[in-house]
Amino acid sequence: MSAPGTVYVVDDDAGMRKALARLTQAAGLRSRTFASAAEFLDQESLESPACIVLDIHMPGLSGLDLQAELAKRNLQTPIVFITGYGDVPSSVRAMKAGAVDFLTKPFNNRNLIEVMRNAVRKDASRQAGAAEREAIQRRLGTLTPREMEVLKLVLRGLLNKQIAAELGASEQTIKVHRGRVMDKMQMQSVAELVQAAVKVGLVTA
Amino acid sequence: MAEISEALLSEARRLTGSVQGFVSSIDPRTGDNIGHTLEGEMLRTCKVVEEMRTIVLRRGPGGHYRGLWGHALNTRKGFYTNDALRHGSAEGVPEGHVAVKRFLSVPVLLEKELVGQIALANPRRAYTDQDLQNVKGLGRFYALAIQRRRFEEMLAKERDFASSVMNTAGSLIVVLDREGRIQQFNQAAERSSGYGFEEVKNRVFFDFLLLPEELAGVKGMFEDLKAGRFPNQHESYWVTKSGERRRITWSNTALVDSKGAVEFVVSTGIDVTERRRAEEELRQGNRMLRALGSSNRALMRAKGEKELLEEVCRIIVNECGHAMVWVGYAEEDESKSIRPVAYAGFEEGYLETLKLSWADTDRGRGPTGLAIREGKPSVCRDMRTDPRFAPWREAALKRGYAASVAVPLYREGKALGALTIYSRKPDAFSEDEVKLLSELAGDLAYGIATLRLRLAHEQAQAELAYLASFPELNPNPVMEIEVASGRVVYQNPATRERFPGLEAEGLAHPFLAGLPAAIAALRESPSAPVRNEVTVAGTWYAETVSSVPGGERVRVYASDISAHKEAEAALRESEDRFRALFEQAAVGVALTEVQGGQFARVNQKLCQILGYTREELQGMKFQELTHPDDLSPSFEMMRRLREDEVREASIEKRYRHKSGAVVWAHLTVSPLRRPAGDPIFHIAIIQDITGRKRMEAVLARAHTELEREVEDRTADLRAANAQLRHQIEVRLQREAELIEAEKRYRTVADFTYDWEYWRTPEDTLVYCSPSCERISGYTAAELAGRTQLLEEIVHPEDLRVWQQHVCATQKAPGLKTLEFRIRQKGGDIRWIEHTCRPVTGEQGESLGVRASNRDVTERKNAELMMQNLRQELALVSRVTTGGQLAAALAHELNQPLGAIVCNVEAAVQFLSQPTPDLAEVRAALGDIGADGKRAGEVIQRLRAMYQRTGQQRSALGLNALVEETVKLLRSEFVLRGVTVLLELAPELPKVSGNHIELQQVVINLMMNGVEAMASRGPGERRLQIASTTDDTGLVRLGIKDSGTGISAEQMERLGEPFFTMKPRGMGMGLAISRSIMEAHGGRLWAVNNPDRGTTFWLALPVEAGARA
Repeated sequence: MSAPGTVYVVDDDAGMRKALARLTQAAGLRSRTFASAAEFLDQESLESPACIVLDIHMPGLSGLDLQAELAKRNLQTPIVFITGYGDVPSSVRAMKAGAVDFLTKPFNNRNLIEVMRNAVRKDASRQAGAAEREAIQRRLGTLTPREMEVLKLVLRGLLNKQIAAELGASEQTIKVHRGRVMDKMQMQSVAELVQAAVKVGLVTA
Repeated sequence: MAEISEALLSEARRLTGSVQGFVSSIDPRTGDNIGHTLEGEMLRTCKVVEEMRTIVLRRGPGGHYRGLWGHALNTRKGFYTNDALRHGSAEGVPEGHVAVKRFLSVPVLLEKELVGQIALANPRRAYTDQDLQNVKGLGRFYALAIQRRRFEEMLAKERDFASSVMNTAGSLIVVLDREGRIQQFNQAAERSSGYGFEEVKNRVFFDFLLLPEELAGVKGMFEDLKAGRFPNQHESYWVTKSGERRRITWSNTALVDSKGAVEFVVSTGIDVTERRRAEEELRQGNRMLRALGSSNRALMRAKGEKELLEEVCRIIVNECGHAMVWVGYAEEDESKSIRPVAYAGFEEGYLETLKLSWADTDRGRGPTGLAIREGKPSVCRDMRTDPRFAPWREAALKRGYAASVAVPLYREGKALGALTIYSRKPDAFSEDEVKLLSELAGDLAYGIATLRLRLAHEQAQAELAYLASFPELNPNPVMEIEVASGRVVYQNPATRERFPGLEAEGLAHPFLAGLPAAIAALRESPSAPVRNEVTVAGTWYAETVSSVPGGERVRVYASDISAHKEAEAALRESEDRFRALFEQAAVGVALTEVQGGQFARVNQKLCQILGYTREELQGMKFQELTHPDDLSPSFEMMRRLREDEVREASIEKRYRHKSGAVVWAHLTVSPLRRPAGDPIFHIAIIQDITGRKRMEAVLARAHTELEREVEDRTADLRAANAQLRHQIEVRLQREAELIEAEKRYRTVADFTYDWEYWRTPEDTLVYCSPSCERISGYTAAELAGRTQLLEEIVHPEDLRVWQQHVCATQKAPGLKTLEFRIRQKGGDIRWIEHTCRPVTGEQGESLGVRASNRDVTERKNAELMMQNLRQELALVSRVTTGGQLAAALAHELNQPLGAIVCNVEAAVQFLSQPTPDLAEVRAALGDIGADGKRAGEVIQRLRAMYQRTGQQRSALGLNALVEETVKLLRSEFVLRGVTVLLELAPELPKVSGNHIELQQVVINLMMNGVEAMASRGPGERRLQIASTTDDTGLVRLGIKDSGTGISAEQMERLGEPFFTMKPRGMGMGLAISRSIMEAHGGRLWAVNNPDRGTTFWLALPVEAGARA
């Protein structure tokens, strides 16, 4: 098993909190419990990888409110919603806002441990992805405006000759620019370059 | 009357100490003085007693009453004498009578009218002026009682009169006010319309009872009436509660008020629906019969199929007045389509839009498709509502069609197609008409088949003639044979094909077997071809043998006539069918000679109609059989036909049946045309319409009667109305007087109504009022005879409280009341409201108890019923609430269940580790147990809502009840985003109540509060619950929401049953809550908060034990 993760349990029901904490522990994960959304938001920072198991209906701030608040703070820890009464509008809202799962108590036919592990795993890979994206962004920052232009045309799939025509330069010049772009981006092939561009949203897959 | 007289007499005797006396009333008719009651020895000894307890003192000449008894009546003044024998009016004592020594008498006057008398005699002490005053006072009561009695009788008579007018024999009576609102609606109107009076009372007549198309007309009549133009009459439909239309003939008049303005409109109606329907059916039946006759003639005359069909369509449209008729043929194509081939009437491109099928598809489920598929008539009663007609509805309604019937054209077990008829009126086709139509369609199908056969035959003939001249092309065999050798010298291709061995076999071939004979015949007359029919291998051939010029050869033509043979057989059959049609027609058919009028041929039906045999009839002339009075119209008709003025003519005329009876007939005559020359015969179609004529006569009579009845009714009504109006005025005036009188009278009436008794400390009854018999079933004597009887009749369940009450009464002074049950002499249980007061003498010694008992059984029963009803309603409301809370309860229950599932999964996980952590497993199991219990509690709380409550009350704390309820509704609050704040007063006194019912009230109010806050933002939904005691010592509970508040108008209606402010509310919650509070001696009210929202308050009295 990879590095153990943390499960944040937010539920106003004490029995439920206790049971979820025990289950988390049994699954080999760390757990931290909170009786309300406000209590959770008082945290300094969130550990990682982690997931949040969140009751949707709570007195005061509801689970959905908390989800919105976390989004506003740009915290992307995966959220697993649980609810004692699963109405369709709430579940749609929760899933649309990016929840990884939506479970209705008493969790018939669902392996809660698996759900929590998957969510933590997702957080881990999300983080790995974030690190990679950061590196690509950094490399992109080193390109000159001209190189950037060339890169964009390469990404559009144009040949050197076409790029030269488009930018009013000689084919030889374009070859040089292109070589520099590949160097700076630390890419071996155009295919690799396109993949990287997709990851940072420079082009859409 | 006797009861009050008796009460008055006993009171009068008690007041004056008189031994004897009577109370009488004057019979307003005869003036005789009738005594209702006698007391003491008079009863046994008085000789003037006519009946038990009734004496009659006759009024003499000049209105004079005799004797001492008559004195007060004559002088109209009360008086008394203590020396009666010497009084001026005394006439001595008749034998056997008790001597009257002292006498007091008061006449009873009602507005100067002498209505009765109170007479008393023989007290032990002398009468005084005070006695006279007292008795005069009673006399005034008595006068009021008589007056009231008279009013009651008069009112009853008026009511009887009014209701008998209203409900007279079958006429509908509807009274409308100036706005058209229904004020009266009698039983007949209820029966006809299906509405009860209570349902329609004050509803506007024009809003729901009329057809939209007739509304304007009827309103016009109503305006006329209002404008003073009455009476008038009209006929219109009204629409019954079940949506049926009923035709009513109305006779209308108006009631005017004292100023001459129209106040009410009174309409008397007669429901003529059945009559009109019968008339309509009769008319339609006649038309149909005519159509049947006409189409039969068309069949006999028909030349071509299309013309025949169009003619029949035209006949049906013209004769029956239907909107459109068409004939469609069932095609054997892939989609089983129906092809319109002929129509008549108002079509306007309708048939093109149909795209009908006789397959079992949407377009094949209309009447026409069904008729073809199922081979029987199919009716669409109303296109507007018949779901099967949906595909064509719009197109049909646009053309004004309303109903249709389709009858199959059925021939030899197969439907050729169908005849479809559209009417402009819904439900236009009666059963009889459909039957006649089927008959017509049967004849038509036969006609079509016959025409087709004839056509096939003719075509075959023409083709043959054409082909004869080209042997090589002729599809039939042609050959030439040398006469001398019998050798076949020519044969065409058809011959080779048909008779392959002919050339080789020559005359030996079976086809040529007859040739030698033919040749011989030709030798005789060479120019006349010889014709034969030969059969070869089962095929029939026609053979024509003719000489080829030169005489050495003969030519033989052969044609396959197998088909022809069949056609001939069919044609023969068709002729039989014609005869059959003639013979079996549903109407009488005759061929009569144009010259002379003799019957040349008649069918069986005509024989039946006229009562003669065929042989007899065929020798007779129609003139001999025609009723003398109808001869000249008959001759006139014949003349017009002869002179070609008309192609056909009909009349209704009478024949003489062989028995001499008159037979009414509808006769249609048309000439039987020949290709050339004048017609020799007429075809006469004779329909027996005697039954119809009789029916028409009956109807005409009924019509006249109806008209007369309507007239009479109007006149009656007007008279009755005038009388009614007058009486209503009198009544109103009298009622006002009556109310005043009643107030005074009630003291006396009540006095006698209740069962009064006086029980001494020695347990004897010194007094027991006669009402005891009505209430307990025992007479005063029975009760007085056995004092313990009183206790014996007390219901066993109430005996203990009764005994406690008796003890308490004897100890403490003051008025006490008790309700208990007794068992009547007859065994029935009655509820008694008992009021009593101990009586003490001047020295303070106990004189016993005076008690008054009132029979309150009806009230008690009503109360018990109300209580049951309230409990039922409360249960329904609780169950409904339970339903509304379903989501919240699911939430509440799923919390512990979810925890259990988690704990189980965790425990399994712990156990599956290499070294199971048993301490954790144990902890998990402990929590599972706790959560299971938690789930059980949720269900426990829920179950209470579905329980039926009894009447049991107990001391309970409102704070605990509130806390428990908040727990029950916890999830509801969470789901609805409501924050609950409790401000409960410590040490709140307990109240007495039914736990479930009070909780229901609290739930209702909390849920109302939650509902009222639904439109507020999530942070603004606060429900505050406060308990307190107020200055009056009541325990109060306030439930305060931060919702939208209640408008002044809503506040007023709050708590009315079915008034609701919630979009999905039933409107019962507050009504039930209020009634629960009232049953607990408490109160429920609402006030709007100064800032926002509403506070509902409950107030309940403190439980008795808690106060002490």
